[in-house]
Amino acid sequence: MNTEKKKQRKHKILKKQLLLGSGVLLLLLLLLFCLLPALRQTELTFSPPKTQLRVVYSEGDVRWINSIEQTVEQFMQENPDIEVQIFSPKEVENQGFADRLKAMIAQEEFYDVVELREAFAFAEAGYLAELPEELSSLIQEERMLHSPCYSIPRYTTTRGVIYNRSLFQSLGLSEPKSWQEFLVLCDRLLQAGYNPIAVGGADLWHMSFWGDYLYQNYLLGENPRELEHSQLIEALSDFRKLSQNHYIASRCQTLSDSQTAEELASESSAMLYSGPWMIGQIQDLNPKIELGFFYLSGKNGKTYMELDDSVEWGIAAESKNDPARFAAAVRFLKFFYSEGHYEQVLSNMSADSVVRRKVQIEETETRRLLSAANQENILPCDAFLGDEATPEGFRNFFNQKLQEVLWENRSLEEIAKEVKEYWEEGYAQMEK
Amino acid sequence: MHKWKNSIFYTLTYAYLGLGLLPLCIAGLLFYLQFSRNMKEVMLDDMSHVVSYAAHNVEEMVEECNTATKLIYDIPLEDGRFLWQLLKDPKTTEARKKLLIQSLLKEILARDSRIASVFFVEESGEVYYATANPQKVLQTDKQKMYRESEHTVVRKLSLYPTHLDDYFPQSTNTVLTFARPYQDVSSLQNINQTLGKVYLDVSLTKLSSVLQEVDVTQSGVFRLLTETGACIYSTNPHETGSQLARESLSKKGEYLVYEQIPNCNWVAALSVPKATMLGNLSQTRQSILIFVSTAFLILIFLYRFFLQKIKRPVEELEQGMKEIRTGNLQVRIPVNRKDELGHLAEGLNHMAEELNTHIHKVYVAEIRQREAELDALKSQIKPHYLYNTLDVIRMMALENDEKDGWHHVGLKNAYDRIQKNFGKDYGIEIISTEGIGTIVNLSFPIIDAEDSIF
Repeated sequence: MNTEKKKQRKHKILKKQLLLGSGVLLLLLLLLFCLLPALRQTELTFSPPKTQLRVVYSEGDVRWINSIEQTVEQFMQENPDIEVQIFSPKEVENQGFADRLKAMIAQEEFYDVVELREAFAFAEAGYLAELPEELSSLIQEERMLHSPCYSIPRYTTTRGVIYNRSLFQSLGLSEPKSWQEFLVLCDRLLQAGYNPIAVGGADLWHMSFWGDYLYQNYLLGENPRELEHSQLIEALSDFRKLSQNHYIASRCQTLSDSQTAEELASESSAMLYSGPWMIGQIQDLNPKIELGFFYLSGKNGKTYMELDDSVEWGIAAESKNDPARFAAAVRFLKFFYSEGHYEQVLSNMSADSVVRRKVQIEETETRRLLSAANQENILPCDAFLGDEATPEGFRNFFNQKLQEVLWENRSLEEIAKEVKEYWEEGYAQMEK
Repeated sequence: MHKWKNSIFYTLTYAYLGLGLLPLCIAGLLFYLQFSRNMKEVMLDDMSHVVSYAAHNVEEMVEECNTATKLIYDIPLEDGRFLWQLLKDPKTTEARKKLLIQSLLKEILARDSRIASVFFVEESGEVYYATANPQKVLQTDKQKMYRESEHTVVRKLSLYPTHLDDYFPQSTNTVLTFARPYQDVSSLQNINQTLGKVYLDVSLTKLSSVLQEVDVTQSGVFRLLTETGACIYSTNPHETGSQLARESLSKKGEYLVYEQIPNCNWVAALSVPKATMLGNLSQTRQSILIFVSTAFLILIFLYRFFLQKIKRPVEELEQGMKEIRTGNLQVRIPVNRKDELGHLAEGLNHMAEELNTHIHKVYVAEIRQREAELDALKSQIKPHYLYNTLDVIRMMALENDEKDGWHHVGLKNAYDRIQKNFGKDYGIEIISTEGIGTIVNLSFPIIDAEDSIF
């Protein structure tokens, strides 16, 4: 009996000890379980690096800058794996955008997505990558003149005379139907105390608006290779008369392109030869102003409506060496032309579409003005300085000469000679 | 040992050590190790931030110098042309060319006060220069040596290591040189042709000023190095401009944090002795260890002290309980405290007293009852009845002729009992001898004449 009791007691003690030991072990395990996650070194999670993409653009026009910034911002939101750096080459006196791009090439800074002038020249020189079909197929067929495709047009726009309609009405003036009527109009405006024509003489590229006008109305002949001296002299002479007759104020020599909007908004100047994107800028500065638009007739009695799709997008050849960057560049351009976004850009710039798909653009006052200006006798013209028929660099050179024509006393013969020489040399280079 | 194992104090000690102190020590040790690791990571992180900030500042400075080299493409000459137009114009005289180029170089020089000198070297080898101090005259051969020395190239920008501009005699400026080729940008077809190279000597103070914004010392050494180990800059002045071996950068007992600067491929590196960096940490660690050890010892001591304080009174209680259990109700446990144990002792004492009293009462009551019963019984017993009874018993024994039989025994017993219970009161003296012959002397007190049988 006693032995049984002893056994039972031993059994109880053992059970108690086992329980206690298990409790200790459990507590230790629990402790370890709680502490180990804190003790484990923080695992570094690396997110994959973003693909860096550079977009080179021109900084001349405020609305275009806004369009680019919006495009980049929205693109990065939709493509978080890509980081876009926008870059605009600094404006340098007497250098056009194409010259700046050449300097970038010389500095090995010409990469990724690039806004182009004289795109064909860059393609010929081998600085542009061939664009894939997913990009070239976005653009209207009639615009894709070359295969393989190295660049695609940004959009198409036009140029004409933006004028202060209220002022015209108050002075009893109407839109001129010929060059002579235009000169009479300028005289009336000058007598009324207004600067007839605002010109952004400080920005070389602004001169190209008049450069193209003169080219289309004076210099463009049946043979685009030829530059007739007499026609050149006539063009330069008529252009000089605008400043000699004070139809272009001397202060315009130092005006930038953006300041010309101020000239009209403040009613210091009555007219501006520029593109429809300026209409919105002028109205932003003076919401009460009433504007009009007309295409300027030439001395030859013809009135041309420029169809300018000369500004293009391309991808630098260097970018093709990095498949990730090239793919990112293609994605960016596809996004630029994508439905919804492209319409925003066109609306902002008052431009017309170059894509194949149907584009619905909001009818704005600017578009109404442009439609009203597009009358029966207007001839569409897609020839302009800087296209494939003009030698590389001629556009900027001609722009410089136009500045000299307006504000320097140099002989027109001398200037015309220089222009012709440049043209001839350029063509000789092209034909090499 | 067996007794100790059964004790609650054994369980308490076991639990205190096993479930309290031991896990606490383990946790403390683990947290201490984690704290050490975290502190080290924080300090290394701090170091890397310093290096990153310094690298960022250097990157900006290099970008500024890079932009300065590009000015050669941007600034027109005094006659309105660009440099490439001048260089390609065979009609310009050498004197005119020199004048125009020097004018251009001076304009570049004027853009940053820390540009010490600007050089333009044509492909033909002709050197044009402009310096902040127009008195300086260039030793072209010596300068050519530097131009041909080892340098890093990143996207057309050449970076030369720190050196003295001693190609200007008696000049002791320490400078960095940035260079860029000047390409023929007249047309896209010609861009690959080099027309010359522009060199910018930038004073080392430009670099040291951007690094002064960052506290790069931290009792360590901060260095800027090229990929080949040339020391562009070091907080140890003797190292600046010299070639450093890889081994000298990272010595045993030092932490080294470094970062490559992308636009120049230089490496910013900070090395700090471990002892310096962890100096404060060691102190903190020691303090923690001392605190934890002291706390541990105090806890042990306190446990032991309170254990003794509790154990003795409990043992006294236990001893008291044992005494009481064995019937010693006189035992009293000393009451020296006013806590629960004191109350327990008091209670036990009280219980013993009550028990004692109660038992005494019960005992006395029982005695009295028995006495009363006995008295009652005695009062019922007459002596002659007793005599008769005894006689009967004797006769029965005689009849049976028993000497040792039941009757004999029973008689003896009866005699004994009667002697015991009644002998005193009734003066009975019963003498029994072995055998049948039993002599019974009964002397009776004279109670009553009726009671007397003789």
